[in-house]
Amino acid sequence: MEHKNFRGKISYISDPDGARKEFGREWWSTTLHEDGQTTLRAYCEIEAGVVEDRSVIRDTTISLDSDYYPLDCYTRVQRSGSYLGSGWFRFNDRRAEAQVYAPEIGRVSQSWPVKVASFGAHNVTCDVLHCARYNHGGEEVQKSKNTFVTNLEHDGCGIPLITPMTFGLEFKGREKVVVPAGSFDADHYEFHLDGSLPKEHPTEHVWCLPENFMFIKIAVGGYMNATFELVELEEG
Amino acid sequence: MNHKNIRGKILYIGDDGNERGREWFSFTHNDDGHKTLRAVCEIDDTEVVREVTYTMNEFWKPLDCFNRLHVEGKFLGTGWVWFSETHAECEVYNTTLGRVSQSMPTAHRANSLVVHPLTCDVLHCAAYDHNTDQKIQYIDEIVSTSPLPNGASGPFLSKTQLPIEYVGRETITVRAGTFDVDHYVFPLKPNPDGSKRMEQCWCLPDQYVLVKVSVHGFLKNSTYELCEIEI
Repeated sequence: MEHKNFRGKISYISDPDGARKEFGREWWSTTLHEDGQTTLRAYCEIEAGVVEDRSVIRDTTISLDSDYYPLDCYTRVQRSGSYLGSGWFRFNDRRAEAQVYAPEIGRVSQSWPVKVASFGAHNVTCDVLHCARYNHGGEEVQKSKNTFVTNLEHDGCGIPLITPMTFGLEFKGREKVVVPAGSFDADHYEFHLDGSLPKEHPTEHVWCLPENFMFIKIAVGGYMNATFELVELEEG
Repeated sequence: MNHKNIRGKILYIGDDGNERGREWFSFTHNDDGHKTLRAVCEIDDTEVVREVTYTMNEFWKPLDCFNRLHVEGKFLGTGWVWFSETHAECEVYNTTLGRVSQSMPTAHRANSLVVHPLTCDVLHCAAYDHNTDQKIQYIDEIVSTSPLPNGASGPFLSKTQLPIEYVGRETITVRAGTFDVDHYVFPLKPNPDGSKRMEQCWCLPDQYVLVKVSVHGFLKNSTYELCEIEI
């Protein structure tokens, strides 16, 4: 078998008063399949306090085609220790569908007649994948098109459903970034999120590997004042 | 957050002593009793890559499961299985079946799910009733995503029954260390030529974490052994 595996861990760190405090963590792994598909799995833990007054546990597995368009995604969310919902999403050239169960809404099927360009399930390793849609020959700040997420909560703690979202994406350049996992030549993007969400989200800066959009670092200002850094990376 | 995480890795070893695959897994025991198992499996000789995220309730009965398969380097299928007290649903996209929705009635919530990571095989043992004198128990209402021994089809549901025998508490040593384990045997239906088929499981008591599995009469008489564990 010729596929490649990468595994890593991300630490969520907030610095509200000059004291770095870990408020969450994300274990992830990626398989780059022989047929060009990419599968990303992530398990995330967010403690109550920094983003919202609730804890979150989330499982996500998303697969993408060779151009980083989503193929299918599964996600499951626990809110403050209790099951909130789970959903399976499938995407093709004409349609996005969701099959969802959540105790609050029951068993729901959802369908959108659209080819989804990018899909976010709220693990920070998924945030980075939106950058695959940036056209490097185009305008400096580009408005997202046909971009969807599982919900509009900052911590992603909502019932998973196909939910449209628009934002501006800007390429800031290639930079050398040092994180606990090492030193990387990374592409730096900025998400312009003014008006994108019901509750204003501070501007988000993203650094990822140019060749495969692998997560290196995210920095979010404002009330969150948080960094999300790759702390472990292993290949094989 | 009071949940508990367990992470580990299993080696698949053929009867020639060589590694023929591997499985990375993690369990989360959530505050509400739900248990989520994630597994990524690689089988080298039949070229299978499998993803599973499987959640059970506080009684180890299935709630929902995601499954995705690559075989011989190509995508085969992806699906979500959801369980209620009356049926099991399967939403599937598979390269040969296309997009299929399946609903299978069950007498009650399914007792267990065969979705083919070795870590999931061990979970069938949670249905064994240690409070009866019946040594071999036939567990019914088990739902399976694939009838193939390596699970490389579908996912598409069928129903099966599994005999389980409890052998007893033992201490065994594997690459990850020495563990007190519960030993179970699945005396399976014989092969078409009449030769015997059997699967033996050794797992952590009450947590059903795989420590060792061995099969006889199929799957190259392999042994599956815990080589890393972190709690």
